[in-house]
Amino acid sequence: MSLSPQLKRRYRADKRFKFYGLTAIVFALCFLIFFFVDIIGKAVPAFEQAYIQVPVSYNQSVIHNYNRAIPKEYRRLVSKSFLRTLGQKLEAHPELMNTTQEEWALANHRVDQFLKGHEGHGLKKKYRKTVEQMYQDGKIEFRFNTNFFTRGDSKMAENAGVLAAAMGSIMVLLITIAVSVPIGVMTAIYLEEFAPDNRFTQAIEVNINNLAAIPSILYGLLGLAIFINVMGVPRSSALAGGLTLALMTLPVIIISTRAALRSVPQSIRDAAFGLGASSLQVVIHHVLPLAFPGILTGSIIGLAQAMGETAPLLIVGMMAYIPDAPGSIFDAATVLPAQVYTWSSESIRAFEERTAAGILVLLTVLLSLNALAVYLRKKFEVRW
Amino acid sequence: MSKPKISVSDLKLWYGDHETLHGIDVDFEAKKVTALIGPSGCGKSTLLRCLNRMNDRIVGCRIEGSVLLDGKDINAPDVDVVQLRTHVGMVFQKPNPFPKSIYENIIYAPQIHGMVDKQGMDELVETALRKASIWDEVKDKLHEPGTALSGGQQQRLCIARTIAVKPDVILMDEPCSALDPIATAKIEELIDELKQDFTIIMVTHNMQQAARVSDNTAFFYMGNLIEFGETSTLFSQPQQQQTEDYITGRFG
Repeated sequence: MSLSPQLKRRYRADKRFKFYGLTAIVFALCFLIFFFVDIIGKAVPAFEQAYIQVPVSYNQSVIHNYNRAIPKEYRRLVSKSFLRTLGQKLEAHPELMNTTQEEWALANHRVDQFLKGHEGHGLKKKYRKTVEQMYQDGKIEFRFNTNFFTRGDSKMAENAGVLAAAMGSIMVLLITIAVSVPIGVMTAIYLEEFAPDNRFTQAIEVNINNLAAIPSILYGLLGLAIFINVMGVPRSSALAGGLTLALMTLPVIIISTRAALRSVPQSIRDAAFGLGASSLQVVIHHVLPLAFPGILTGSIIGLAQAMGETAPLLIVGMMAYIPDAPGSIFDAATVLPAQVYTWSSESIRAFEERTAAGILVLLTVLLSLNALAVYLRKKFEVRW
Repeated sequence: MSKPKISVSDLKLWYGDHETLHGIDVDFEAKKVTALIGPSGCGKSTLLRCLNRMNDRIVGCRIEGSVLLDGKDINAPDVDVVQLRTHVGMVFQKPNPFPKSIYENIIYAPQIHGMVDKQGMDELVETALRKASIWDEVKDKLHEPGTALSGGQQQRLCIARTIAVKPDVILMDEPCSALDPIATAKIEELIDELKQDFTIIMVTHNMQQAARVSDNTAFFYMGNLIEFGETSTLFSQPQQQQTEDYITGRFG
């Protein structure tokens, strides 16, 4: 039996539709792959850092001028961050006085970039021969860049790391969690399970949905106006940033929690009410445990979003040069995405790979958070 | 007729502006099974839900008239709804065990009402499950999830859960409509046993079921009680033309 032309047309439409869908997916995948290859390709060199072996002469003049410790031809090849510590080192170890030691020093970022073969390394022509020779002689070597994970931001590119920003991000995130999760979940439970359905609650609902769509920079202005100007929270502090991001995350958490509560079958509430449970007991004993995975997932995704947010923090002054990890939530701090932004606008070549490495660290954290959300949802999901 | 367990008089109910029940007068006898029948939307489920105030939570629902349980108005301000529901239990159309173990399903309500201490728990669970004639099927898997049981077993578990609170009245809202004939037969048998201890009021769409298990039957149509009487009489010699039309399948 042959197919009617009409049926053939319907099958052709099916095939076309599948093809369009597939094209869209391939297109999106291409972008994703390009993005990851580019970022990872740029970031990987940042995890290696050049170290250079130089003779260091400890004498009286070093205490006043650390440049004198190193012969002139090597002086520009060594990181200033190494030279700066020499005076202190001499005070701590007086026995070194008037000796000359061969020491491994952190190399200047120009040396590092030159040997990595990056354009725009900025190493002067007169040093290039020396550096190449030293590299061949094994007097310059590449080591794992621990500084990147143990130090804060620095004007010396070779010395700059993400620790301060990471600590800032953790503090901000903890404050955001502490503020937005309880308030958001409670609000959602009240609206969904207790509040009467009238104009007032409907107005609240519409407004919450709108708040979720507001440009995040406006939350920054709100945070500036309320937390910094009115409440006197210190500028640039993790507290100011955390509270601001909490405001921004609230609607997301409220909406996802309400969706999770709504997905609990009405029959369970009926059953519990029918047995004489009070409203609170119905919620705590039956509805919340069933909605828990959904609430958790929504909260984690909202918090991951907050963690990647930069615009509102710009307004509360967290886009700052922070060389040391903040000691408390009142100290000036910055966060990972802000650090990435700061580095990306630097002109020195070595910051480019640090920008990429910073993005990689941020992405790793965000992907782990999302993986955690998926894992927890699977783990606590109740099977019927 | 002996003194009624529940006496409904001139009960009117509105959902918003829509009057759903137009002044119902009916008495439910103690330790008897009363079936409420009638076409969909006739108000029988609504009436059932009035008897343990499940309509309280519905926005815009308004009630007039009185529902007396042992002579006391359950809508009176001094009656606590939580307490009322320990006297009037309810079994729903779709089996709805909690997604917890069988044991926890049974013990939940007695625990929140403080009816049982640690020692008495096992005994109470066994008694409730035995009364719901499901003990033999589940005694070896009390700590497995109640949701893993078959539909009929789930419904009997729900009945066991209801009688664990030791109510006087059990309301059943089409308890067999989601079940196959064999599971239905078991529930009907169970209802027959339960009426020794409980007053049972059930809504059903199944005329044969009403005829088989109930002592009294009330026929509703468009929010009015058309006819109420002993089941055998109502089915053999209906007084009203509408009742006769309905039970013989001419409409509805």
